Amino acid sequence: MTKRLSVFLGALAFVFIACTPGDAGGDKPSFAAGSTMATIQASGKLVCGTKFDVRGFGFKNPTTNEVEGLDADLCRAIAEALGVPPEFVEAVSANRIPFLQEDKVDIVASTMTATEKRRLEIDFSHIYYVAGQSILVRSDSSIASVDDLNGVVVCSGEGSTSEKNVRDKAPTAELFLTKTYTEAGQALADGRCDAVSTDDTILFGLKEQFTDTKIVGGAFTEEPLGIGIKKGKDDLVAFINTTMEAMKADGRMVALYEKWVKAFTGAVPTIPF
Amino acid sequence: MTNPQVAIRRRRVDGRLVAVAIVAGLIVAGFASGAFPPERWQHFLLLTTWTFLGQGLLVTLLMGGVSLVLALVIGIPLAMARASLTGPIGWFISGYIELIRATPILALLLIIFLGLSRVGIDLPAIQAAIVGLTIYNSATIAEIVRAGIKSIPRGEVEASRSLGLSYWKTMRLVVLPQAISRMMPALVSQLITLMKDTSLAFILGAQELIGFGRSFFTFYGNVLETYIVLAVIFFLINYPLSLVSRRLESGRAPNERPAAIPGGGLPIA
Amino acid sequence: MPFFPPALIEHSELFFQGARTTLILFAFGLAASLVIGVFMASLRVWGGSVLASLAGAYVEFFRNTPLLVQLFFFAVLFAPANLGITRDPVVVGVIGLAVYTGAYVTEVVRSGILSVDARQIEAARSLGLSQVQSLRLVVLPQAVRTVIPPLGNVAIALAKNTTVVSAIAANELIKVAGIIETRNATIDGFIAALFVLWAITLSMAFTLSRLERRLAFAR
Repeated sequence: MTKRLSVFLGALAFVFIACTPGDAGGDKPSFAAGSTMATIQASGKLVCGTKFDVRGFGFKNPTTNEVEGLDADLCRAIAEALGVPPEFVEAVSANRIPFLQEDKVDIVASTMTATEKRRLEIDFSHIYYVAGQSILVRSDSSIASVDDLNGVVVCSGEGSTSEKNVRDKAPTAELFLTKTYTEAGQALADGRCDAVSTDDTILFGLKEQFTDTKIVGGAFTEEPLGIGIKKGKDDLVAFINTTMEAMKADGRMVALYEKWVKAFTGAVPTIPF
Repeated sequence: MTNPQVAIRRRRVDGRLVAVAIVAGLIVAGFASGAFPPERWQHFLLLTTWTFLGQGLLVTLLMGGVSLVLALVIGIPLAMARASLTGPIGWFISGYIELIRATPILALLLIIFLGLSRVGIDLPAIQAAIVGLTIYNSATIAEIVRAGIKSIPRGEVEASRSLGLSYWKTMRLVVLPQAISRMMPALVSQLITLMKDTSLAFILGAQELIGFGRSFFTFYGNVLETYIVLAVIFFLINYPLSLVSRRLESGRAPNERPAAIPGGGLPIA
Repeated sequence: MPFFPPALIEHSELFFQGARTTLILFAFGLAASLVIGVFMASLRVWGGSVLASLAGAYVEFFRNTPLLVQLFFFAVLFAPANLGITRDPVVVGVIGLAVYTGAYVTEVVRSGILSVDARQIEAARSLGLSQVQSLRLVVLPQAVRTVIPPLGNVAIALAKNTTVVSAIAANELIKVAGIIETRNATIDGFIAALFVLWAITLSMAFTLSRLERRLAFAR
C-alpha cells in the first residue's frame, strides 16, 4: 500500500515537473554547474530591467499588459536561449545600475548608453544600437539647436547621461529633472518645460506620443546602447554576445529593427557589431 | 409641534442634496461645454482598462493590508512595553517611537529602499515599501494604543491587581478590551493614512495603482482624466473607512475618548 | 565615513537650495492652508446647509485621496497648456500642500468653533456685544486654545509632506538628495536631508508638547 502510494506520488511529482513552464520546450540548453547561466536557469526566469514608457524600446501596453519594443524583444531572445521565461522589471535611468549591482535584475536592456564611466561599474554586451542625443520641442518653438537651450527650462532624466550633456553644452539651461521620460514629455506638452533633451531613440517615441512636437538640432552626441550586466559575470556577457551574433546571422536582429526602429526613423540601421 | 432636532436634520439633508446637485450640474456642464472631451473618457468604458488598473489596485490593497497586519503585530507590544517599562529601555522605546513619528515617510521609504541594498539586503520596491510602511505605522499605532491604555482609569488597574489578577491578566482582561474599543476610531483613521501612503511606493518604482495608471495614460494620452479616476478609486476605499471611524467615535461618550490621541487620531498624514 | 560626506561638500550649494525650497513649501503652504481652513470652517459652521455641504465635500475628498495624486494632477492642470496658472513646481507644491492640508485645518478649526458653547454667544449678544465683537472677544480666545494642539500636529504633518513635492520635480531636500544619489552613487544626501527634516519636525513636536502642558494648566 505504502509502496503504491509512493509510486503514485512519484508519478504526480513527475507530471508536475514536466509541466513546469521552463521545461515545456523539452530541449532546455544545459550549462556548466556554477555558471551564471545555470544559476539563472535554476531560478526559473530571466529578470530583465527595461523602461516601461519608451515606445519602440520598452513600453508596457495596457491593452495586452506586455512589455513591447526592441529592448524587450532582446530580453525575450536571450531568455529563450537560456530556456527560461523573461520577467520584466521597470528600470529607469536613476535605478538601473543599482538594480544590477544588487542583483535585483539579471540584465538591463533599458536604452542605456555604454559610457566609459559606466564600464567601470558594470559590463556591457555588444552595442545593439547607436543613438544620439537630440532635442524635442513643441511644434511652435523657436529652439533650433543645443545652444538655444541656454536660459530655458530643459526636461531630462534624473541620473542620465543626457542630463550631464545638457549641463556641459548649455550651462545656463534650467534643468527640470524627471524620473521617467513620460513625465518629461508630459511636462513639455503641458508647457512646464521648453525642451526635452535625451537620446533620439526616446524622443522618437515621445514625438509619437505627444504629437504636437518636433525633433530639432540633429544628434549632437553619439550614444552607443548596450545591454548592462553586473561585473564578474563574464560568462553571461559572452553568452549574450554569442546570442546576439546568432541573431545577426539568422536575420532576427534585422527583423527586430524592421519591427521597432523603422517606424520611427524610416530606415533600418546597420548592425553595429 | 415639529421637533427642532428633526427640522435641523432635514435642512442638513436638503443642503446635501442641493450640494450634490450643484456638483453633478458642474460635471454635466463640463461635458456639455467640451471641457471634458468624451474621447478622453471613453477608454474608461473598456473592460481591459479595469482588468489592467485592477492589477495595480490589487497590489495597492495588498501593500496596505500586509503593512497594517504587521504594524499591529509590532505596534501593540511596543505600546505595552512603553507603558510598562521604565528606565533606559523605556526611554529608548519612547525615543524610537517619537523619532519614527517625526520622520517623513517618503524619506524613510527611500532610505530603506536604497540603503538596505547597499548593505547587501536586496528588496524589490513593493517589499521595501511594505517594510517602510510597517516601521512607520507600528510607531504610530503604538502611540494610539498607548493613549488608549492611558485612558483607562488607574483605579481599574489597581482594583484588578488587588483582586489578585496578575499584570498580564489585568492587561488582557481589563485594560486591553476597553482600550481597543476606545482607540478604534483612531486606528481606522490611521488605516486611511496608510492606504494613501501606499501611493508613495510608486516613487520607488513599484507597479501599484498609480504605476498602472501611468502606463494607461501614457498609452491613451488622457493624463488629467486618469488622475481624477485614480483619486476617485482611493476615495471609494477611504471614504467608507472615514464614515466607520466617525460612527465609532460618535457612539462614545466624550469622557471615554482618549484625549491624548491628537484630534481623535485626526491628522498625521 | 567622514563627518561631512564629500558628495555633500561637492553639492553643498544644491543642498542649501533644497533646504530653502523645503522651508518655502512649508511656510507658504502653512499660511495658505490656514486661510483656506478658516474660510472653509466658517462655511461649515455658518454657511447655511448648501455651502456647508460643499465645504464638507471638499474636506472629505481631499482628506481621502493621496497627496501624491493631487500634486500630479495640479502640476498638469496648472501648466501653460491647460489652465496656464503656473509652470513652477514649487508654486504647484505650495498650492497642492495648502489645498490638502487646508482640509485638515478646516476640521480642526470647525471643532474649535463648535467647542464653544452656543449659549455663550447668546449671553454675549444680550450683554450688548455685536455679532463680530462676540466672535472676537468670546469665541475666538477659547477656540484658539482648543485648536492649538491639533493644529500643531497638522503643521508637523505638513512639514513631513513637503517631501512628496519632490515627485513633481520641485528641487526640495528629497529631490536634491535624489540628484546627488544619481550623480555620486551615495545615499548620504538622503541621510543629511533626513537630519534637516528631523530638526524641523522634532523642534515643532517639542514646542508643541510644552505648549500643550501650559494650555492644560491655564484651563
